[in-house]
Amino acid sequence: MKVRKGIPKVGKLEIRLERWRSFLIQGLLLSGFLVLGMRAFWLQGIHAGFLQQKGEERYSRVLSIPASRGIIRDRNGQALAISIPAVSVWANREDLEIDEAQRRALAHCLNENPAEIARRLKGEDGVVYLKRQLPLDEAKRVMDLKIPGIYLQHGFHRAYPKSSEMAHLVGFTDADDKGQEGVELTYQAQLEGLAGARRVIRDRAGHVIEDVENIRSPRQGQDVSLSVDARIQHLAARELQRAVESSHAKAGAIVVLDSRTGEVLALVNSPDYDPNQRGGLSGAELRNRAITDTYEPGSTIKPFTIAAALEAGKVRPDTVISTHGGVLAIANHLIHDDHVAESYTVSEVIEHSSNVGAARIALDLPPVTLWDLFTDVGFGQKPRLGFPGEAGGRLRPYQNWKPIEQATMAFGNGMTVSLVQMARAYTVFPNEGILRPLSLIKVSAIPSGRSVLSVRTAREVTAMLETVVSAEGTAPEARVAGYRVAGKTGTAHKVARGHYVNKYVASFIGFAPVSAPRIVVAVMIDEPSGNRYYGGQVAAPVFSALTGEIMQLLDIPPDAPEPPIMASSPGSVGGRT
Amino acid sequence: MTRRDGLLFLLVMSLALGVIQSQQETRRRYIDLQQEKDHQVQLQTEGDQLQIEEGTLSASHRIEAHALHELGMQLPTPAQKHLLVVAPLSGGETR
Repeated sequence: MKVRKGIPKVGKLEIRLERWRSFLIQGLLLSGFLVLGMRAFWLQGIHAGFLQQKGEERYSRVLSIPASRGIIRDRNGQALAISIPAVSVWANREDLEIDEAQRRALAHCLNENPAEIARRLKGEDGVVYLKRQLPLDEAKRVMDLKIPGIYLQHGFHRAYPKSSEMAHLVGFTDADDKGQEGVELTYQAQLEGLAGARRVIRDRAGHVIEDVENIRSPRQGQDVSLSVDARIQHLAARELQRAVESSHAKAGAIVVLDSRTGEVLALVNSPDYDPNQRGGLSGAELRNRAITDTYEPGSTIKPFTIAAALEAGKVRPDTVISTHGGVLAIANHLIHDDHVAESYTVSEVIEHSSNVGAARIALDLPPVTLWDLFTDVGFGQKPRLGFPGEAGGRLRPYQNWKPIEQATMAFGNGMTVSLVQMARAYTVFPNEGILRPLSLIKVSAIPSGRSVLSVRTAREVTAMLETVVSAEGTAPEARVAGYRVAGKTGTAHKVARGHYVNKYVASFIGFAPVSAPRIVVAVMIDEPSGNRYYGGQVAAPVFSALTGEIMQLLDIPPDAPEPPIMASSPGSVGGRT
Repeated sequence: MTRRDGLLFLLVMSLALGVIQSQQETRRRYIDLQQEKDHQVQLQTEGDQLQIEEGTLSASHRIEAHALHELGMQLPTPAQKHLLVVAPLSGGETR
């Protein structure tokens, strides 16, 4: 700074700055503003997307939209399987910070042994599940412990309100809510719910304040309405349990069909299991014997042998068949009857379940005639219920049949069937020769079927089957008070290592009421022990008790000629209504 | 600044405040909607739980066990059952 030399003027101090200095300062300031402006333009104009993305990343989240599995219901809308939200508790051992007190508290919340929890949490890395399918309130208590490294995974828990009674039919799902058995597996695609996902923005408080995008729409699982009636299922389960216990049998099964529509109204097996508690299950408990197991049907096949002969015009119901005193020799084999008789009419062959009579009738037929009918009613083929592990049974090609095989097949030896196949085959008699497909799903209209027998033959065989439950027949214990019923007993030796052994499968398959049939009931008792092992002794009483209860449950009017009590109006019989 | 500029400035400012206000309102209502949706899910869950409870409590085997063991009832044997067939009423009768 320069100051003029000499004496300064009083009152005014004149300072003179160089102009370039002020220009420099102004230039620097302007340049600074320009840089800031350009930076602002760059950030907010050209490069805005990047910053917005960074901002959103701070607050945006991808949320899963849960989709629950469909409900399985019975034909009356009763829930048989429902999914409810549940969570799995898992630990990431890398992040885990837990002390002894917290470990005990965690074990208490999970209702587990502290030592077991400690064992699972050992180790330095990896993820370990501590408890699956925990109710939400219990999971909340776990998270309230605020243990670093303990996390929740949301999912669903499948509950089965009818427990063991529906177990074999409904099946169950695994920990990931995927069907493993029964209807749960068969209708997996329909029942399965597919979770969706959406990107949202959350505020600092964690509230979702904006939907950014819908990544994937959820698909809720669809409900499935079965043809089964839970009430009939219960009755069948109860009667089967009683029969298996009282006859000390190894196992048993019952199938109840709606004879008009082919719907499965009940399907039970013993032994069974509780699908809500599946720990330590054995294969015997899991097996759906009525569908997956085959057995030699024994005498329950005879109505089809007779029907084939009637259709071929070889016999009439009153044709007399010589039974040679109850013994028939073919090649080196002897066929026996339990009752000794010189001859039976065709109808009496069914009534008394004559093996010799059935064999003689079958031997009069070309093998193809018998094979055709057996095939037409579904033997040797899967019943196509869509159920896992369906058995088709064994029916060998007729070209290879030897006379002894044709004769023994006439009374159900040398071929195998499943109980559900037998039940379906029997629907041709009440349906006047029409065979309809089976259905596990409730149907709205009677499905079309195909004719496998003439109406006349079906009626003639039905009349014969009605004599089976007469006092002279093999199953008077199958009678049902107030109702006309028809059916056939079966008692077959089991085969072990290629030989018949003294173990039996006792069965009874019948339908009711005969005047306007509604149901077909098939009962199979596997290895009844003791003196009572005939189908007429072990399975027929089960048929009787169950059919009687179903008739009442479905409000089917009695059709027997003389019902026990007649009342003209409510209250007119001894004051009872 | 002319008077017209002043009015425009005020208008722009009030619109900006309006946008902020409506954005805030949208978010508040959206939070309410989310809470209602959560509530719907909770009710759905509760409904399913009640269905399970209803199904379990009304299971025939449970009712039967209760009747047999706690109420001392028994299942009638076939001999104890009497079927009453109510004949249709004749023309002049009324109930």
